[in-house]
Amino acid sequence: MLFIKELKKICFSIVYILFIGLLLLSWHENFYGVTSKEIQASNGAEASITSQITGGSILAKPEQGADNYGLIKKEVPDKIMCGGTDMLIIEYLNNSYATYPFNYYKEVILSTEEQKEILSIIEEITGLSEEQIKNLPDDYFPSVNGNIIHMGGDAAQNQDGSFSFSTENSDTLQEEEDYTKHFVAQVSYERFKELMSQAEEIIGDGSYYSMDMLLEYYGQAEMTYDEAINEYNKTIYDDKVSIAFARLFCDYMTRVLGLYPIFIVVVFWLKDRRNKMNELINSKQIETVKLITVRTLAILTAVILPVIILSFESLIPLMEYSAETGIAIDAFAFIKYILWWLLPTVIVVTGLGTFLTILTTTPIAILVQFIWWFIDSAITGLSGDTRLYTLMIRHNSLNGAELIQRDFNIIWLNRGLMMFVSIVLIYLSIVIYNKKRGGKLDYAYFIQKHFGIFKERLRTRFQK
Amino acid sequence: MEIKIEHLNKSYGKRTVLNDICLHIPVGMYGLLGENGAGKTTLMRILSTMLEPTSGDIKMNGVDIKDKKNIRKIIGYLPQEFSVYPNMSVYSALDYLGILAELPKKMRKERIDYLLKQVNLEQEKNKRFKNLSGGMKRRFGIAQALLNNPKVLIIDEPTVGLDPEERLRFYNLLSELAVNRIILLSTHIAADIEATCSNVAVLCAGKVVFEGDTEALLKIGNGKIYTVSFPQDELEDFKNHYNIISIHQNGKDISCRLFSDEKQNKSWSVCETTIEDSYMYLLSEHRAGEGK
Repeated sequence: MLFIKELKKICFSIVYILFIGLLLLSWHENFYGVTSKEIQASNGAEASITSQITGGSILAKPEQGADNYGLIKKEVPDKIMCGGTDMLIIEYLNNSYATYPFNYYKEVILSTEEQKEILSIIEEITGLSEEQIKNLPDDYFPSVNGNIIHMGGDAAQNQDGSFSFSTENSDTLQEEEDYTKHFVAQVSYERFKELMSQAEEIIGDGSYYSMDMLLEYYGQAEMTYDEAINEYNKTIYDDKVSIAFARLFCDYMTRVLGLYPIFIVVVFWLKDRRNKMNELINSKQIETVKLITVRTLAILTAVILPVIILSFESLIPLMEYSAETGIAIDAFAFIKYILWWLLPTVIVVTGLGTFLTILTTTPIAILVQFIWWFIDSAITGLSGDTRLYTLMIRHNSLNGAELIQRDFNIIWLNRGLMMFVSIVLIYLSIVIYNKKRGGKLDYAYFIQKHFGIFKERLRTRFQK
Repeated sequence: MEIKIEHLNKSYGKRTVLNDICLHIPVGMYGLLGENGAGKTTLMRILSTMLEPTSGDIKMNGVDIKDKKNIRKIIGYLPQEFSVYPNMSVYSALDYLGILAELPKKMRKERIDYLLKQVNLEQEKNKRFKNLSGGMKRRFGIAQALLNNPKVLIIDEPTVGLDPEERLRFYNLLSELAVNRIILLSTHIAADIEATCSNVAVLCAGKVVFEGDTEALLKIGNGKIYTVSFPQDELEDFKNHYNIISIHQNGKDISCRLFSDEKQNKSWSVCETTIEDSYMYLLSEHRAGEGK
């Protein structure tokens, strides 16, 4: 009964309505319709944006002799050198270097001396002079070069206004060609990596020239039929279709759940004091352990329930797809991944928020959680980058089941650690609440005495 | 049923808020009278398990105050400043607090219906808390404190902000409730004590300066309270020499009520003592003794 009352209190609060709004927005922007599009694409319709970039629906069985089978992540030195050099020349000529420290864009402009150093790197890779670099032929690089698109040359505008590019030569090694007309690396791959590392040092962290970024943007190659059928089999048999979608769904949801529940937790725990209800509650018989446990469960339910409901938007079409095609899916994939990947994140956010709010009776937990979320977002790669202390498990792809198999143990360890930390935080919250409730940890007087003056000054300033 | 407080002390750092308090509180209405900052709320919060005493013993019906779980079973507490989630209805709020008081569903419903009737809030049970008047909020406070049918009801400054009619209604309600239970009422308004309590303790600067029944408190001021009239221009001089309790404008003259150990002028006339007079006299005596 208390659980229902607490759940109602949360669900009818403004902060919860805002949370639901943000959750829906994030889901709609990132995941809504992906499943239906993938299913339609397996019948020849347009695929979702998620699999467009990898060449088509993950549910479409590759047919031998097709024009292409999409892309696969692969470290092909020529492609990486071509893409990396192309980007470096573009940025050098504009003296505008994009960097993403902590995942946020920052433009870097280099000094004349630093520009000279970059020029010497480009000269060594291309074997060209400064003059030649400034006047490269239009088709020096392929039209589509990883994340770079060169207008002109092979680009042609279609009737609907879109552009098409000829990429047929992009895989061709051009060693025998004239290195002044087409890009031909004049250094070994090892030396190229050293030069990129130097460029990264000059430009700063988060530039395009770290190996991670080079692999991310230029480490893709067209799949062979065997590779394509292998990918398809992994989706159908290893992932039982729905697991692939469940992972992507959780990837988008985890960014929301790694931060926003903290607002619900903090507002919820400060509500008693703000409404001068804490003494009415604390003088009642209820045990502290029961009060905190029930309230925590109510918060977790309020946060996880809408996520489970949203997962049906993907699960229902998949079940229909399974019924139509006879391909077996895992009907519990979403619930399993929500409980395995998302719940520990939500619990640790709730635990931290509960602990810090009860300890300090301030909203400091929001700041702490934001810092944790921000750092975690910045240092964690989009896929296959789970570490022991990772807050949010990322897997921003419908493919890549092998990454999960590879990281299986560390993911379990990580989730176990998050659960353990949460339990410790909730236990400490109970101890502190109990002490404060009984007046044993009465530092309100001390805080008022020593910090009350700052509070008053702040209030006066705002009132002015 | 009684509350025994023995040598109770409470300090915040070097500041002593309660100093060697000893009280025996029997069944019935018991008043705790004292000026603002005398330590009344601290004592009430200790008795309601919200604060830990620095030293001393308290037993309620034989249960040690350290046994908070069992103490909370027998007390009801109405703090000086309280509120409820503003959008909750009166009934929902009582139901929520009833759940926290661990009352079974059936008993909770019966108890809430009974209490709403007793505090005359039946008509308002579906009203949101924020829409209640000050007096209604106080009556709600009493209802929530009575949810578990407590043996001890602790009420801190209940009449602050109430209009005279609401105050009178509140006195009547408390008198009805004082059967077979202790009601401990703290206030700085002597009229509250006079209207409701049979026993009283007076606190001054954290010390008990009087403990006994209200008759005994009245006797303290007997023969020491005077009324005197004098021209308005003598008021400042009068204030500097005598302990004035109250002043009234009476035409061109001032009519003044004061206390003094001796009649110092023939024009002074002895008047009937009230609790407030005795209380003021006690405070003055105590301050004089402390050298303030």
